[in-house]
Amino acid sequence: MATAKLNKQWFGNVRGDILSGIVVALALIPEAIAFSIIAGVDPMVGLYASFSMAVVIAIVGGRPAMISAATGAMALLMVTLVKDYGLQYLFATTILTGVLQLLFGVLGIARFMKFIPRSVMIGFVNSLAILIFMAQVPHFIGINTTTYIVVGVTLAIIYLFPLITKAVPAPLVAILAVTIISLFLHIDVRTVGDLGEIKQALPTFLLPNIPLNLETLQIIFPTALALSIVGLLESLLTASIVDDMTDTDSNKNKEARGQGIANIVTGFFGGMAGCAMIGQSVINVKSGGRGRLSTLVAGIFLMFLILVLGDWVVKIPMPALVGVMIMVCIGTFDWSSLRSLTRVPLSDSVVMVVTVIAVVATHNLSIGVFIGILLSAIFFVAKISKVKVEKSTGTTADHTRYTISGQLFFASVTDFTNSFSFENKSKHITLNFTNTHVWDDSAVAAIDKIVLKFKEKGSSVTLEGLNKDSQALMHKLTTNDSAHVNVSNH
Amino acid sequence: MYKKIVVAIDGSDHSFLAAEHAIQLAKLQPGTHVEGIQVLDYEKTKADVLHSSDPIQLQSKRDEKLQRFRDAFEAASIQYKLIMKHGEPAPMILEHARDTRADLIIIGSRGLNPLQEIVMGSVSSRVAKRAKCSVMIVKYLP
Repeated sequence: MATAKLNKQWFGNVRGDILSGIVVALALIPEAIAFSIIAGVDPMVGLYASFSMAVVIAIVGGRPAMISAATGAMALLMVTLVKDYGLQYLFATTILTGVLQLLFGVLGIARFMKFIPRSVMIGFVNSLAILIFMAQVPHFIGINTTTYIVVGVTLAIIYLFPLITKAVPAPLVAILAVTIISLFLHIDVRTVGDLGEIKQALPTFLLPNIPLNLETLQIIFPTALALSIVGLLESLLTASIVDDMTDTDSNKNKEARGQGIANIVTGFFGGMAGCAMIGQSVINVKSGGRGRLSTLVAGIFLMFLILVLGDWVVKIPMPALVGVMIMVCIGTFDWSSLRSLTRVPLSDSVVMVVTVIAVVATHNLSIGVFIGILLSAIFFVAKISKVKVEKSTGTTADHTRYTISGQLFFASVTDFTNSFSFENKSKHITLNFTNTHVWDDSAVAAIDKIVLKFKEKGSSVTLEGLNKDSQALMHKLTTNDSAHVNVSNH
Repeated sequence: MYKKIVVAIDGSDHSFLAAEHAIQLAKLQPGTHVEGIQVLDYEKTKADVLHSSDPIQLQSKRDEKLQRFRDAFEAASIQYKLIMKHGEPAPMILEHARDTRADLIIIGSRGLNPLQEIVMGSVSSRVAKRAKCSVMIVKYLP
């Protein structure tokens, strides 16, 4: 049974998977190089990462047909670490990221994904697009006119070539065309070779050359934690998108564990931390990829291309890569969120915008997500803290009934208490709790206070309609037992 | 005349008009089966998933869009089926028509201008060009 399923995940769609894997490998190369440049490392680090992430995740991932490689979201998080401490610390961070993700997967992180509001996720992808764009600015603004022209030509090819055929990825065609043109015309632009070298060799196993002590851990842990969270966030979002596109389900915790294993292996083979990529996974599914084989082929074919074509990769003009990255930004940004900005509840829009601002200000996606979640939690508390107290005349003239509706907890008790005027002359007071829930000690204390006040005025008080949980809490927490003259439940 | 009609549905008024044509044709001959197919474009999946809190909510949001079509089919009391598939609209509609051995495809025309047609691609003209059965393109006249 399990073997049959695995067999299908691997060999259920051989032709489609091989073809789409090749397409993805071609589309991955420029991105892997560009993300390495963002991180401030040699292109090989991103290429090795893409190779090893794809190959390992094909075997241990939870979502067949999803593509994992070196990504922009991850690259942006390592910039400072690479600048301050260098490559060896990056490898160590990548391994630690993997260990943390593996741990999160084992602990069942997927179940906590539902606590991340969608406005935070929209803010996440939007700010990711903005950050990737900002990272391109130094590579094309104010260098020379030729640079602008090359970027423009690249973008034109990317968006117009699909009108001719969609069989070959347009970004690759653009890169090829622009590279050939610039070689023939000896155009004065910087190339990938100016920013790093391409080794035509397979990655080898290595242990990061760092001191194994507490100080190292203090250096790498914060970055590794941020990487592990951002990596899982993007991977599980991508998994949901692939789920929907293929009308199939996937094991998110297995995917989290898989991401962990893939990053551990990647760190030991000289790669930078990576995660799943929305854009590439969409390309894969669109090109017919459905099984694990597609991801494996993407990784292996990418490595093969580098081994064969490495000499040519260094000749790619930087502005061509910038063009591809601008396309990635446009594809990553959720444009529909701009249209829905005025249609969704104001609090959702505020959360989205604040998440974006926080990320762009700190250059750290994990901080933005954290602030976004915090803010939406506050909004949620504010929303559900509305309580209503309705006053009505009871069965007899000297009987007043108060009906409370809403949630009673720390944020709503002030409003709750202020809703009572103790001018009342009624002899009998009934508080009806049918439409409410008592959540915490603040709520119990507030009820106690009200009951006491009524009693001071000489009225008898009855509490009715408390649900089971609320009753249990009242019983446990109430400080003034005598206050509860009759707790009756209807 | 037609035994099996495939009608392309995208939730728009154009496609509703196409569905109404399918209903009228089906009523002419008892036993005619109508298949309404909605193709969800891969490009829109990311936004769809991002803007919904879970797969179940997403599904019901998509179902809601089809409700008036379902109502119209029910009211006409004809044999029908509503299908949702992921993919590129034109190839998917053609594939479905072929798989179900449809003898007519009905599709609404969005009325694009020539430039839009180049950039966005007209689904109806592509379907008309490649279909192996008859195709009815329903023009929407405002």
